[in-house]
Amino acid sequence: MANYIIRRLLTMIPTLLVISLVVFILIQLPPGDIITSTLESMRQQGMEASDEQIEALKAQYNLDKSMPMQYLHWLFNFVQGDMGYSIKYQQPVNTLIWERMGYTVIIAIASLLFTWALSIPIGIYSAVRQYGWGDYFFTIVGLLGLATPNFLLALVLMYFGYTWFGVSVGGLFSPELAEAPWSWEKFVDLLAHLWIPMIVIGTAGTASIIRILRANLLDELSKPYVTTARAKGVRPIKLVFKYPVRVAISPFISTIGWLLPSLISADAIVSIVLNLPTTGPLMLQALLSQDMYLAGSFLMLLSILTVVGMLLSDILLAIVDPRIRYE
Amino acid sequence: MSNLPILSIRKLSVEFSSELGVNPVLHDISFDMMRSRTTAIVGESGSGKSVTANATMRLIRSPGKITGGEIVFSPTAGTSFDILKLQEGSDEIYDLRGGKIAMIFQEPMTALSPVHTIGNQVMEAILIHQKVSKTEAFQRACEMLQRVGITQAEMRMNQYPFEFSGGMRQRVVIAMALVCQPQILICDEPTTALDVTVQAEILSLINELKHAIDTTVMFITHDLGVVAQVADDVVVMHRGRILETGTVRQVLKSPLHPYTQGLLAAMPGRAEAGQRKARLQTVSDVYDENEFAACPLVAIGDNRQVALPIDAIPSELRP
Ligand SMILES: Nc1ncnc2c1ncn2[C@@H]1O[C@H](COP(=O)(O)OP(=O)(O)O)[C@@H](O)[C@H]1O
Ligand SMILES: [Mg+2]
Repeated sequence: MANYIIRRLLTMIPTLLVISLVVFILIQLPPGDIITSTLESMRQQGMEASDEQIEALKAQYNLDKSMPMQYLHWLFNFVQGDMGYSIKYQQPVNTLIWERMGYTVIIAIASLLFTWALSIPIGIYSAVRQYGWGDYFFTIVGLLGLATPNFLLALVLMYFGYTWFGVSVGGLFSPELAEAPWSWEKFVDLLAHLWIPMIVIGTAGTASIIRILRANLLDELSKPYVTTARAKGVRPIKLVFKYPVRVAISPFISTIGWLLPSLISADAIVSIVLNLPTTGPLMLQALLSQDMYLAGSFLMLLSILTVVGMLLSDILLAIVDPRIRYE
Repeated sequence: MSNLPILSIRKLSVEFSSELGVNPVLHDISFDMMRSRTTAIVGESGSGKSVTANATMRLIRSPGKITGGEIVFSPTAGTSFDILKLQEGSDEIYDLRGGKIAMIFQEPMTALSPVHTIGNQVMEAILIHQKVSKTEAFQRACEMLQRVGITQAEMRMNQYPFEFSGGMRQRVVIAMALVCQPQILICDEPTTALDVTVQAEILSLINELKHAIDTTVMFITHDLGVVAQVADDVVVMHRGRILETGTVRQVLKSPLHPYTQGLLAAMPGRAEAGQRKARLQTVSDVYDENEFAACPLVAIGDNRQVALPIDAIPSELRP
């Protein structure tokens, strides 16, 4: 097992290097660079930049160097934890990203737990009572959920949140507490705001997880080893939970890996509608405004999280399923 | 010898329903299984052998339905009850399954859970049916594994099925079925998926343990060669009906029903030396299905039945 993990870690390095090169090229692809956009905004304010100023700017961003050198500079700084400087926000990328990362993680974990708490019991129920009225009911509700756009649900919940509970619309905090230091009051305020994004983001995955779990479980339940267990006298509840659920659930363990990158990117639209201080909208902005260092950092972080997440999933899978462990 | 049957199936009918309609799978089948004997159920695939076994274990589930008949089980000479009358989900049913009646299956490769250890799965059978501690259960499971010929049993207990060969897995399945000393062991084509050499080993293992534990065996197979090796009594099935029953000697030596005669003629080993090169006969060369379709079973002696019109039965055997 330890061997397996080390091997996987080592193969991650070349993978990430290739990705970093692709990311760097991608950032360079669109016409124009930071200098042109800076000059453009200066011009709009009625200023002309002198040649020396332009040269100084270029030197500041390493743009006077060759492409390979620019790449190495960027990569080297990134590895050391310096992700560069955002032109648009006039702040180091580090401060911009980490500030929002905490909230993103909180929302993502809350909505994931919500999704699982809802979909796993329903999925198991639907499989065990296949074609029962409950199965049909959840199928219809699930399909409705699948067909409802997230932002629409967000708007509806915001409306009810405001009219019924008087929760201020959008954001993670009430305006008067947003800048306040952490306190019990602020924590409670966070919980009062958290449920809307939790439900909106959480329900998005629910329907598909129910369907997948139901299908997997039905598949497992018809396997001979389940019949063997029944013939042994194992009772129905134990039969479902001890044997097939364990196997049927492993696809969701692999989604834990995909969850990590989705922390950053997913639900940008929901976050914008709900005005959440998460990383999604920031990344969208960075890509739209060609904020090179910010966008590049996001893409790189996404890739790292994807690769690490996949490793995590594989390790978890190996723990659940002995066949993988021994390969 | 005419002791009481341990299992007496009477007019058992099962049907499966689907969008296409109702498909009757067993039509009023009746036969007896005598205590401590091996009754082989033989028939081509799809004839309803597994459904018969599953009905005995009350394992038929929707869309299948037992529509009539009784399966009278007499665990001891004095007591008997109809398995089909047991309440669905009652303790008696779980007591029966794996306790008084155990079953082994065709596919040893998939009959064990891939994610639990061998020990876990064998011990589970003990812990369900016997009030013993986990250490005691571990001991018994180990002993049983040794009895079915698994060496280093204690170490093997912690291994997973994928670390076992097909034959070894079938031994584990046998250990799991016999560890609670069932009164009836149902073997549903236990050797069909195995190599010929392994097949012979498993057959003799089942035979040996049958005597050691003194259990009664229902042995399902489509292979008459296997029937000759293991069976005391034979039940011939075709398309959800029983065509003939009797002792292995009666059925294999002097078959009455044309279908049984066809089955025997189609056996590779039966071809006369001179006919070696000739094409093997198929059952349909001998047996015209429509000729005797749906004839009721006629009892013509001690546990000997045949589904033929009276005038087609040799006169000296007519009831
Ligand atoms: N789960 C099921 N659903 C629908 N039909 C079934 C099912 N199991 C068995 N049958 C029907 O019962 C018939 C007999 O099956 P089975 O007892 O498995 O045959 P075999 O003699 O090969 O063991 C099959 O031809 C099939 O049509
Ligand atoms: Mg079968």
